[in-house]
Amino acid sequence: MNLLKIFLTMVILLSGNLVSADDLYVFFPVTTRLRVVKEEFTKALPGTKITVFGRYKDFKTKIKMDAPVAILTKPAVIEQIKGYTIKLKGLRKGSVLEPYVMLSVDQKINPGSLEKISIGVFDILGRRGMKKFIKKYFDPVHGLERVSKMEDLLPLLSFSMAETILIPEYFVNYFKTISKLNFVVTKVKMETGIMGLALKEGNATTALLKKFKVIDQKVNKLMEVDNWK
Amino acid sequence: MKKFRSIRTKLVGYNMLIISLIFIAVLSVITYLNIRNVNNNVEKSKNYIRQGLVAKGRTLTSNNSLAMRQMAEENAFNAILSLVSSTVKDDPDIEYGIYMNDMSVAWVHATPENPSGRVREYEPLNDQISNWAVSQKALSYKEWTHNNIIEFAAPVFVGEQIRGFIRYGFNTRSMDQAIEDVLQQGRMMRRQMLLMLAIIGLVSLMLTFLIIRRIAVKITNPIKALVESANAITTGNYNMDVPESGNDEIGELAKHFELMRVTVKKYTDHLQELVDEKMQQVNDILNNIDQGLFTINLDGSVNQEYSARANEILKVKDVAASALDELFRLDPQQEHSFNIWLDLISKKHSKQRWKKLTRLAPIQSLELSNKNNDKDFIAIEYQKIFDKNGLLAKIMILARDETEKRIKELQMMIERRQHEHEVKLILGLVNTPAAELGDFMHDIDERMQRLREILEQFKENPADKIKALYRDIHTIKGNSGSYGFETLSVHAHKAEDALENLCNNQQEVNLNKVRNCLEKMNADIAQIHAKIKLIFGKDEYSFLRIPIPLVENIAEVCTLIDVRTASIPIIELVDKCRKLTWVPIETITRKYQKIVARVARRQNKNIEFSAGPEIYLPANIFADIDDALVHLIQNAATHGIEAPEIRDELDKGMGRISFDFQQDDQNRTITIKDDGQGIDPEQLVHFCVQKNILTQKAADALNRNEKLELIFIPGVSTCVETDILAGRGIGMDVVHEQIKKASGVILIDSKENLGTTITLTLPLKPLLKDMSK
Repeated sequence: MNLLKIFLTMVILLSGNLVSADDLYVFFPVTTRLRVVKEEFTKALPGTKITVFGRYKDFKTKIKMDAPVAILTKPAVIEQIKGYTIKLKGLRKGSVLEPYVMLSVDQKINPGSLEKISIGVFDILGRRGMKKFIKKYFDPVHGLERVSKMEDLLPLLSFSMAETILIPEYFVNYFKTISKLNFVVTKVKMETGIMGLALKEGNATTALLKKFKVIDQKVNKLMEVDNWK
Repeated sequence: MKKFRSIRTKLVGYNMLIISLIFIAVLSVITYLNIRNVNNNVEKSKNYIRQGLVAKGRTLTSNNSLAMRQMAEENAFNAILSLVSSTVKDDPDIEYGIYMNDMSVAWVHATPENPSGRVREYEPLNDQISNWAVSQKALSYKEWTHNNIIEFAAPVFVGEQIRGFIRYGFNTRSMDQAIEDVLQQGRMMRRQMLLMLAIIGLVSLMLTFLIIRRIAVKITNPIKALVESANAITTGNYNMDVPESGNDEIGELAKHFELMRVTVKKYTDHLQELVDEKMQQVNDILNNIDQGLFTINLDGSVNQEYSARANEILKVKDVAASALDELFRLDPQQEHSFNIWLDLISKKHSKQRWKKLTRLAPIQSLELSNKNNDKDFIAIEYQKIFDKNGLLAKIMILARDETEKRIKELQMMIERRQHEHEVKLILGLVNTPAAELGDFMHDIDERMQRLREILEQFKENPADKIKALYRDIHTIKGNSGSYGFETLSVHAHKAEDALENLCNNQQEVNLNKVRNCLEKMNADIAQIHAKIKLIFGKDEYSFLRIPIPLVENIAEVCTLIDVRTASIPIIELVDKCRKLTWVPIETITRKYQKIVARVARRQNKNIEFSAGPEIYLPANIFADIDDALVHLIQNAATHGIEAPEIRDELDKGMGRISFDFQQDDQNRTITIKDDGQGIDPEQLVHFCVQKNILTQKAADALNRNEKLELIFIPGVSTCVETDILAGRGIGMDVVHEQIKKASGVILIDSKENLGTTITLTLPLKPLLKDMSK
């Protein structure tokens, strides 16, 4: 794993100077392997150099080191990154927002009383960012357990490290598929942007936007997006 | 004696022993060093392997704990799962890999049995090792010997906070296996080395043995030759040359030995000539002496040298060709005894006097039948013969014909006995007052006549006849002995023996024996008569025999005289008439005194007899109970008075028997008292019970006096053996019968070691009654 990290860092460093105006950094919660995601994006966006990140920390660090032309991520993430403006928003069933639910085992969670409950979340904003982000919707929260892979949310429940996990609603089926636990879904008052494509401020390229508008549905499916606006 | 072992054997044996010991010592040292080296190597290897394992575990766990920081922070279960499971899977030394969070809940528990590492139980781990692991603040390891595991545990930090622990358990199997391999290798090397050394050692020993043996043979062959020569010389063969050997000490010894052999041979030849010459002289002497002389060895074998007279005396053809048992006519028992004696003298001749030893020889004389079927008496003497070293070599036996000497001695002995007998007879006759002798002879003649009559009518009621015969013969025996007529007494004793046989078996042959004894007694009595005639000039006795009835009549007539009116002469006459036959009591009891003296002489006792009081009594006052008194006094002297040594031991001094006479208006009382051993009533009871005379029950009911009175039963005696004096249990029966016949009463009182008192109470005789008035 360490070797992989070193290798990727070296690749990033070496390729920094080669990044052209059409490079795109991708980071969003996904249950598919990053290699597959990258292949699909590369196939769908020819001429665009695609870099897919699994962890917010890597994503953020890379942007700091070598800011790309465009980034494709959750709108909440884009809000945390300075110098990028959302140009396109992903739509699902006609909405740019997606609802979140709390998935717990055996018992329902009272979203209004989380002061003694730890919540598991997919880390899209880092430790501080996530705390702040969650605090906007639920306050107070006893503890926040972050994961960098969607499948790691399930062990949080299994090992009772978190009483519930906060996930986009469309992931419920995924967890029910991979586990036979008696999941109980609790709807919460939380909606966030589904996906956003942001361009570096001051960059006038539109080619990428055009490409996205007609991007293959297979790629949209990866992002659980119907189309872009 | 120690078993012979040749120098060669010793030389080879000792050398081989030394070499073997050295070899064993070297082998032991090498083995010890090898074992020590192997053990050191094993210990080192063990340390190296352990250190390697620890280094490996530390590195792996440390790297994992660093790598997992990010994963822990991000709760990357799957990444941790993948990392731990792949680590366990890839390393056979790892027994398990565990990642547990800070609450000790295992996220991953990968083992060879559970390679995926997925956990089914979500409870916190609470075992001993987990508790140890969770307490660690940095990378640590610990060996758990109970399951041969070295556990490495490291906390996984996120910032300053411990988020979990990575644990790897390394089994020590590979380490143990590696150590075992090293040990096996060491053992194999040791075995190979020892085998090699053993083979080399054995080959070396064999070679050494062959070399030493060859050397030993070379050294000992001349010695062996010398020994053979010495053996030959020992057996008297001086003709065998001593072989020459090398130029060493043995060679010198062989030369000197040969020189010695030649010298000894020369002297021996000369000595043999001298011996032959001397032997010839000895033989000449032996053949000319008038004694049977021959020698025997200590094993009893007869030697060649003997005098010619020996053949004649011992009545054999050739003494040298005869065995000792033939010469001495030994039966197997005697032969055995003779061999024991030979063994004794061979061992003791230097410590004991020879005369003393020869007195122990079983054969001191021989009686050999001669041509006339008479016996030749041969006296045997033994003399010792020493060899030149002063050791007893042979025994010289002198056989001397003493037949003539012995015959003369026998004749002399017979004559001496005859003379003694005659002297005793004459002394007895001379020392006895004529009147007393006359009474005795008259009494004996009467008794002998009665005996003859009894024998003629023996077949009528033989039991009573035997009893009657006993009484008379017993009395004759006692009386004749007391007067010194010993031959008669001896024949009477033999007659008693014959009577005893007759009592047990009333056959004619036993009756004839009694008759023979009586004939001998008759002959003795005839001889006494002859001597009386010789001494007194006639066989009638020169004294006046006045029948007692006549005296009693005179006394009775005297009682009719009224002495109150009678004149003094008449009174004196009456008194003289009454005391016509009266004699001092001492005279009356002289017979009993003689009996005591005879017993004392025979039994070497010292007994004093006393009679009292000093009064005159009619001479025949005890005639009616004379036999009883004889037996009582004889018993007192024979059985009552102890042997001198016993009396000395009891400090009793001279034995005493007293005879006391008392009378009153009604009775005369005779008390015979001795101070001897007394009569043991229990011994009498035991005898009676043993002889079935009395049942035990009846015996138990008797008081002491009644027990003592058992002695009056015929055949009862406390004596173990009979002799000429007493012991047949007849005498007391006679006493009892006679006292009873005289209307008397016997009282017997006896105390152990104080003596016996027998009191006879009899009615007063008329004569004495008158006197008492």
